[in-house]
Amino acid sequence: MNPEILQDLESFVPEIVLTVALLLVVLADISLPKLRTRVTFLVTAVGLLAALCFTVPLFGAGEKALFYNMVALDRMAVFFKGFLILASFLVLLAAPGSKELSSTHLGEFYALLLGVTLGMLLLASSVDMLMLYLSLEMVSLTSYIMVGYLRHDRQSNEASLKYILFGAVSTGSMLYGITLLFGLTGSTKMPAIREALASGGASGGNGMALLVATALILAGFGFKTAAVPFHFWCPDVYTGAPTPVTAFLSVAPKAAGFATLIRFFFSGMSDTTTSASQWSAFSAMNWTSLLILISIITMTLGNIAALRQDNLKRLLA
Amino acid sequence: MDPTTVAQVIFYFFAVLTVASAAIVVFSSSLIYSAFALLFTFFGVAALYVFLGADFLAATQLVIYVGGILILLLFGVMLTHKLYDLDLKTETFQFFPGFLVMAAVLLTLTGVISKTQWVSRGERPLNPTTIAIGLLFMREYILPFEVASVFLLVALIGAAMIVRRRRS
Amino acid sequence: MIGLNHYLFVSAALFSLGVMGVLTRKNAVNVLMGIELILNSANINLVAFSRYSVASLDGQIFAVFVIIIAAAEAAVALAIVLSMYRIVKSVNLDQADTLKG
Repeated sequence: MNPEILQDLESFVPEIVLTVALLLVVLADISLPKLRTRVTFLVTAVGLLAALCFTVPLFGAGEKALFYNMVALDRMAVFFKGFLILASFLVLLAAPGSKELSSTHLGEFYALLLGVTLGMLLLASSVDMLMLYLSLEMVSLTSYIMVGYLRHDRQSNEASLKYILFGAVSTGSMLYGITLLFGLTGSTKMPAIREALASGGASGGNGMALLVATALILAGFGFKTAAVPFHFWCPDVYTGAPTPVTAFLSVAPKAAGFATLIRFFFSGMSDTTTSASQWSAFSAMNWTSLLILISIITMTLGNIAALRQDNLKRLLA
Repeated sequence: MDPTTVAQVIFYFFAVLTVASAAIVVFSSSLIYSAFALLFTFFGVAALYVFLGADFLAATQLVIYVGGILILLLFGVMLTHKLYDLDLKTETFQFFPGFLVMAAVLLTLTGVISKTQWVSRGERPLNPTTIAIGLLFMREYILPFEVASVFLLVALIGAAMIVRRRRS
Repeated sequence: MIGLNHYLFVSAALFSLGVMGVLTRKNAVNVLMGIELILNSANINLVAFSRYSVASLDGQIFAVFVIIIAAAEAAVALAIVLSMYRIVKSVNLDQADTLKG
């Protein structure tokens, strides 16, 4: 065993705690038929709180790259981790009180909640495209299942089906974009991608390829953060899903998606050290203003659409 | 014939097989035809992997895609239709907009591919890859490897939960 | 001689066919087939780059993970399709209309 990995484990305690809690929930759900509703709730609560406690001290730990540059530990990642764990904890508290959910069996719900939290933590800190794709799929897949949690309810099922089909298509095209980027830069690590692009990888005929790759990748992020034009799944899913799930989906995965988006564009794509001449072809696309434009459109359209929605949950979208 | 020509002929055979069967998947009006055409697509892709020197990946493609995902999809077709219902018609909608989008995507991608100067660090020699892949999984890729196992566990729980029948 | 671009063209064709399938099919299982085509095309790209331009196994490893994820996703998607079929008795997406987006 490489000693470096063992050192990295120290900065990875929140994720490990969540994984252990997930396994304990699954085991308790199977082995304790009488007590399981309470035990799984307790294990999940303790797991999330412990993960939060272990996350806070990491805030001052400084910047590090862990596990052969798969995930990064920096202030932004730690901030988002804390925020995401807190969001999951609030959903956990709301779950037993929810009429829709309490009629079903909750053990698996807690396991899924821990799974989605773990996925989001990894998503917020990943600096490798493989890690990013894997954790994005983990968050998405768990969200599909949570949306369809009321499996005897037609709306819940429909919402889940639409969500998984849209979701799979957008992550699929994102994957295609990632492969093009891989071919352009020869790496899946964001810092290496930045270097390759900065050293002329984006010049000449490659600008078009870069544009296409970025547009495809943006489709995946756009789906996750529900930005225009990928926002249309939002109202459907929010109406069909159980209420605590709606509350969760409207906050947490979007935050994780934004965190990744920020990391992708500012650590993978932008570069302050290159000279202006090399940079001109690339900055012509002007990521920042594109993003601002998209967010403005998202907010405006969201508000206009909200005026016409009578369903409160749709309004949240 | 010299070996290069033979290799070219075989490559084109599998490339055409892959694309043509994918076209049948998309355009056929029978679900069963689509599913079986998908079989040939997966086989063709596996053959392309062999051409690219990815022996482990070709085997994985056969075992997981053909043996797993395709069977799953066939089950999906069978379970959602009555078994005696032999012509499993599938309808299409928005055919022409879809066709236009497909043509646009294809044109853009082929344009991009033929123009772009991809990174070139030389070719990877055609050695067996299994040992190297196994080592990479245990070293550089240890974190994704472990995360993937948790991912599969979550997917398993979720899928089992969704299809489980209501208990009385 | 067969080169990188040959594989990329095959992959581009698969990708656009997959997009077409996703856009035009009504049957949910058929849409899933389109998604599998898209994932396969991405994998061809990865392996081709791995062989011809990047000269490392990174692309192949990525492709293995894509296959794992595709299998999990297909399983969950079919579970949802079956669950939906039990309620609606149809897997056509235009039947999924109680929620007008």
